[in-house]
Amino acid sequence: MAESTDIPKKLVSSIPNLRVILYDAQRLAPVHKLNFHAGAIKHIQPMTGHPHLLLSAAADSCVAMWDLRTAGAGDGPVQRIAALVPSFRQPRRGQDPFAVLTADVNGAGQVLAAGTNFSPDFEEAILALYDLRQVGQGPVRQYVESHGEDITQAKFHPLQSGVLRTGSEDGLVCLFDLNQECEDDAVTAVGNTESSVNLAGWFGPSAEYVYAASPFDNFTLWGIRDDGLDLIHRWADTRQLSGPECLTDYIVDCHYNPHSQRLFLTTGSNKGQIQNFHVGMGDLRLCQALDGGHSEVVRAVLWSPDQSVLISGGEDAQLSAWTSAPPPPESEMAASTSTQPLWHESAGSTSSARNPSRFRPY
Amino acid sequence: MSKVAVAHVRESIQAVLKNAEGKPRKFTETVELQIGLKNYDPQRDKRFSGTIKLPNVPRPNMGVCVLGDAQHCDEAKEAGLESMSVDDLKKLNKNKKLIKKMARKHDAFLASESLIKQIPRLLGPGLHKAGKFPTPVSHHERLSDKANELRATIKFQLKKVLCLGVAVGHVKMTEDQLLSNVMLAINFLVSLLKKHWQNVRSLYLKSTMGKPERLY
Repeated sequence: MAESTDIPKKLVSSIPNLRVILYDAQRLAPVHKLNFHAGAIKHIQPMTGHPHLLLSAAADSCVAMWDLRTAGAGDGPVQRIAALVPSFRQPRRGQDPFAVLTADVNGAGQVLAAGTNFSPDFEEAILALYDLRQVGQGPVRQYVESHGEDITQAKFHPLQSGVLRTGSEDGLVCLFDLNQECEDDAVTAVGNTESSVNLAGWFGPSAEYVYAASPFDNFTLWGIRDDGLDLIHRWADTRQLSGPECLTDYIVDCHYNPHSQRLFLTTGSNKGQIQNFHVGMGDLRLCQALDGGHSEVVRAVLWSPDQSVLISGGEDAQLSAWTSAPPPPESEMAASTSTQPLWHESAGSTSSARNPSRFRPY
Repeated sequence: MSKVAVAHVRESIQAVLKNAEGKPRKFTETVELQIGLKNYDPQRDKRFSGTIKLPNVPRPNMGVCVLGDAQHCDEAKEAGLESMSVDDLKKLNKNKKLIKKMARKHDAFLASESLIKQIPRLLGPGLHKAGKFPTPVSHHERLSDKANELRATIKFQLKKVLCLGVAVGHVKMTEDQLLSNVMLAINFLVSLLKKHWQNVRSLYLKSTMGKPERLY
């Protein structure tokens, strides 16, 4: 179960049976179901600057754009970008099509970037760029040299619409300058995590820092300089953060609060506990441990912009909403606060009915 | 909380080694750990990938090349590692063929911290696809240690299928070295699984040409 945002009013979640479901964030009740994709949905996110537009990417090598104001009418997506690969690379019988694992639209709303998995048939992982005004003409540019494994992350710089950052399972984080025609010149900086990257993002007042994490082991921070990426700190194994109050098994997500200018790392345990850490220059400090909302792995968390409400979604088919006091100031950070779930509602009455691919319960 | 007894693993390692000795091959056989999973749906559950650093070097012959500043190039010469300076890299002139050739020639790269930022500009993305983007090395670390660290690090990935294999050593290693590598790899991989040992269907140990030995 992945999850995305349109806070404050709506919340989106994708489930394994190829649908995107729209929830009312106040009541956590489903509002609409969006049917379009023919493959597992890999990525959903709102479009930067257009909170009513939703972007979804799936294993059927399609990217769809939805207008949430009209989504209930059943019209399907407002724009669809199919056949992500040019015709000469169309998969033959027995070959899997490229799955789109990530997509993003730049701040100006003109360029769409989509990253695919690494296809053993073509020995390529593609980062494709589309001009949204002329989607029909196929990708404007394709970068195939920069990553040797699944491209799991692609995100435009929040302020500079010509700068794109990608992350891949080969452990590299790349910065691209999209004004450069040639792929050789477009890669401006590379960071090596020596593991795999499943989560990466910008942070800092003008997004001058980058973080990257792999789900199990390491978490790395870089500062962007003119000549490349400066390593700030690297945590080799975040599972060592486990203490008496918390058991950290994996990294869920990161959240940057632009008002307080602080970065928070959310981790989880296999039993469904959620932990929030404050990320400092060289240390991670536990702020909260949230118990009792989930009984299985937590896949996604979502903060409201003022960080007063946290919504989490897990593999137990539950959505939980939490309220908490705003994170305590740094001096009190050591004392962890535990909050009770405010309300939580089953996202599916019977998970097996909604998720036919699920194996037998044990 | 290990579910496999050390004694049992030791027996299996002895059997694998004996097997390899009985029929020598023209190359050094690799010892591989194979894990079958159960109650795990790669379509639905999170796939994972990552790296393990083993206590004993499983790939001693891995050729590491140092892309270094003057100091590191000198150190590399002493440590018997191949090295290239900034000028050498500039000579490649972003020529794709030359860069590919260089990437093929070496198994891994180390680069001085001062140099690593220039790599994208000097070489473009040529090293990325081969999975050979250099690892940074500072002047506080010894080059040979860092190179051995690279040689001891193995990568594993769970993709669409419910099994995964990792190379944990080779048949020229001693029993104890293999044992510590195998135990570390097993414990690490199991700790990544959601339900730990309940997700493990089987564990096998085998050498490249030998018979598999069941551990679990």
